[in-house]
Amino acid sequence: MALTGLLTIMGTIVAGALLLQWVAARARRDRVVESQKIPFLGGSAPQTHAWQRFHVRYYSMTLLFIAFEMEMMFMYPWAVVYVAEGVKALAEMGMFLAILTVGILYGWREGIFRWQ
Amino acid sequence: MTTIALTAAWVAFLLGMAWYVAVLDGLWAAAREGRSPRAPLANPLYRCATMLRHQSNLTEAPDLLNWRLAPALYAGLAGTGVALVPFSSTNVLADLDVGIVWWGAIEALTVVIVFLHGWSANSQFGLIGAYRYVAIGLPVMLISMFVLIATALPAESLAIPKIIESQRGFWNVIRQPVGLPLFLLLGLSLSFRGPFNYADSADVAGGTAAEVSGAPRLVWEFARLAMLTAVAAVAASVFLGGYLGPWFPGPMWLVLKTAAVLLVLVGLSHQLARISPSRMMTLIWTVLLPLSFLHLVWAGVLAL
Amino acid sequence: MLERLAARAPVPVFVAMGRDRAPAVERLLQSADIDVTATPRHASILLVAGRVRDSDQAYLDRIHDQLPHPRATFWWGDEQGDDVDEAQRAASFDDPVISLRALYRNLISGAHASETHRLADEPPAPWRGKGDHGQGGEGMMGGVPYGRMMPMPPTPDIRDGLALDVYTTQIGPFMPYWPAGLVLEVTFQGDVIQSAEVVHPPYPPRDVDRVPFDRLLHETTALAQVERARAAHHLVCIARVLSLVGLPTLSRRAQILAVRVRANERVAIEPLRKAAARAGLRAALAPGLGRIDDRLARELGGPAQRAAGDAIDDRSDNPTYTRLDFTPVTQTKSDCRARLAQWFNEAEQALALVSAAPDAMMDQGALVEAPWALRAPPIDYRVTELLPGLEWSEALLVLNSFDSAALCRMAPLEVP
Repeated sequence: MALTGLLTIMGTIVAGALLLQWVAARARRDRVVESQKIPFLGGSAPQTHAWQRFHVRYYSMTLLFIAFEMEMMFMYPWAVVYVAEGVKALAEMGMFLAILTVGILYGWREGIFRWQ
Repeated sequence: MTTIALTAAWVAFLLGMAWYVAVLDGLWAAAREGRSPRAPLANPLYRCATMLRHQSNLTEAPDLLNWRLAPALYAGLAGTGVALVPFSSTNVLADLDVGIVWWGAIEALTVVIVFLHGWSANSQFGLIGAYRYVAIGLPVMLISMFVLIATALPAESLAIPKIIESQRGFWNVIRQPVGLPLFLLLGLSLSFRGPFNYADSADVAGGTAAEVSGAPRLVWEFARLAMLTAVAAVAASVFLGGYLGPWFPGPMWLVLKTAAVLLVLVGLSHQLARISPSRMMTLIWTVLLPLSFLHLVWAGVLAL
Repeated sequence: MLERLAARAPVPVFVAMGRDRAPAVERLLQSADIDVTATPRHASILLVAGRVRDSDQAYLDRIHDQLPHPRATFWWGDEQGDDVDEAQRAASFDDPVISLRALYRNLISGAHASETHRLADEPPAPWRGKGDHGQGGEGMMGGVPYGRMMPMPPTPDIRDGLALDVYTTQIGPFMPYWPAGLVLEVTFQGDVIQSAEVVHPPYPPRDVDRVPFDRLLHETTALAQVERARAAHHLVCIARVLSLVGLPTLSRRAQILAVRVRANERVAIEPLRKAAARAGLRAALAPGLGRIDDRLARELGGPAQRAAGDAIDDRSDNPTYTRLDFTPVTQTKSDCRARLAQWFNEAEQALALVSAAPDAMMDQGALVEAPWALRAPPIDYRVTELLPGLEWSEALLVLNSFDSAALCRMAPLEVP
């Protein structure tokens, strides 16, 4: 019920914003000329397209991020039953966090947090 | 309240708070520069009009669908974020059982959307802004989720209304003091302002917005303000007790608390310098994230 | 209705710095009615400050065409063509804000027609395909998509999956927070610079900064004038760095201070310095960023040399200064932080000298240190050796930690 509400809200705003952009583009008579389309490089013209296999220098960091993201997934139901489960739940979470913290330390030593 | 009235309140809240942030920006900047502000209340509207009067730009071979979709999706996410926040104990536009999970999705999707916005323009500075932002946006998201889950522990629920109800004794900002400062960093990061402005900063000639002009730019800038509002509203609910408070009606408390959080956020975005992306990444992973772990353990011990 | 609201907005202006007779552009920032934008796409008016080099005219045309409609050009400086409308020009010593606002209002209401494009309305190369829709061509893309190649890795085997693409482009003279006039051909791998080459050298120091020092060669000049010019120059350099580290309000404050210093007002730099320190300026500049070795610092001279620790200053031999107990300020390490601190210290020292001796005069030809090094001989070192391996924002910080004279010597045009 609330989910459909949220999706409706999302859809309405997206549709409205797209409509605004479309209407504003149609309202002007002047079209965008080819020389206007040159991407901004301080006045120079580019030689190639900008789309490139961009060197994602933090790629190793994203792998560690995935690990933490999975921990987050685990924590969603954990948070709901935590008080009922008591100290056992706290211990489990502590262990999980400790293991992942070792991961952060290892990564830090390996230099994945530098702009390689 | 009926759904219609609630929807109207939500629209008024979004637009009003976005305008309020723009006004605060102008006032704060004027104070820092040592001059009197220029038409403080109307200036945001004037600048909206300027943006609308501009032509919508195109580049040579952009990904036009994603380029126009990105600001719209960003605004949509911000709108749903505000819809999750209850105005009073019986009035919430979207009473979701797992509001925190939806909020996590908002944060993840925002990173994707900001990246798409920079990538679609097929311009090198847009690409640089987009890639830098992802490196910072991802770990900040982790911090915020740990902090939010810490607030869910005493409430035994992931729903924001229940989290507010669990604060009838003490506000979470008192029980879990580190949570609010860490969550404010998320606010700065999701709308890439101030020290977290890696996406749209002036050193990359406007970054993801370098090639954008006209109505798409207006939607993008509005979406940034709306996202900041959403984060402030959630912070006010989850740490400061939302509509809880004596003497005044609930909705008024929510508005006051959100306005106060927004004041702090605007102040932080003007007062702090931006460090280089790799150093910020190291700082987040080695200092702030372990801090959020400790905070979670603290909250867990307290909740038992 | 929209027009009336838009006409009251601050005027979005993109500034293109010229080489000769450039006015002090920081005067624009005194008025809140002008918004200096970071990209021409956000601007309505292209402000050409001074006279642009002939070799830069093509770049200027490209920038002009990148502004969205409604757009107009405004020339601020003493040299323009004869056919420039009165509403679109201002002399160097004038304040152009009122004219800019009027021009903008007329643009919005339609009274002033939006300027048409200067470059040809053609894609850089037509789609080279065979069929009616460009299909059936040769090569990996089936043609040349929109006239531009895709960036390719520098290996003979085009699609070797292990080599990452490099992106080579010229970065032009009119970038914001970029040494004015410098055109570099930069090769990126991602956002890290792999190599750079100078295509056009940067501009020498502005006339407005040089005037008191040139005047000293011919006539008796007041010490106050010389030192005020120094403080103003350093404040403008500091303002650029402040903008780059994400403190635009402090940057604007620094530039307004520079304008007031030149207007012979009493100002204090200490509050600005404290505000910048509180904002975390030192943390924003990594220690060791832009480190130059002592040999290069000695060859550069000027503030860069003093930032490296050598207390060499021409003013130490000037009797007017020695009477005021002048000693050169130095820093210890010669990195970006040190050069920025050197600018702050020298500006404060300059203003202290002004208040200590407001009426002191110096004879013509007296020896005085300019805000930059006056040494002419070319040096071997190139700024393009400092840049490889730096991420883009760090590269900008390094470039902006040198004044324009030092950059001129470090980035000359290579004669093949």
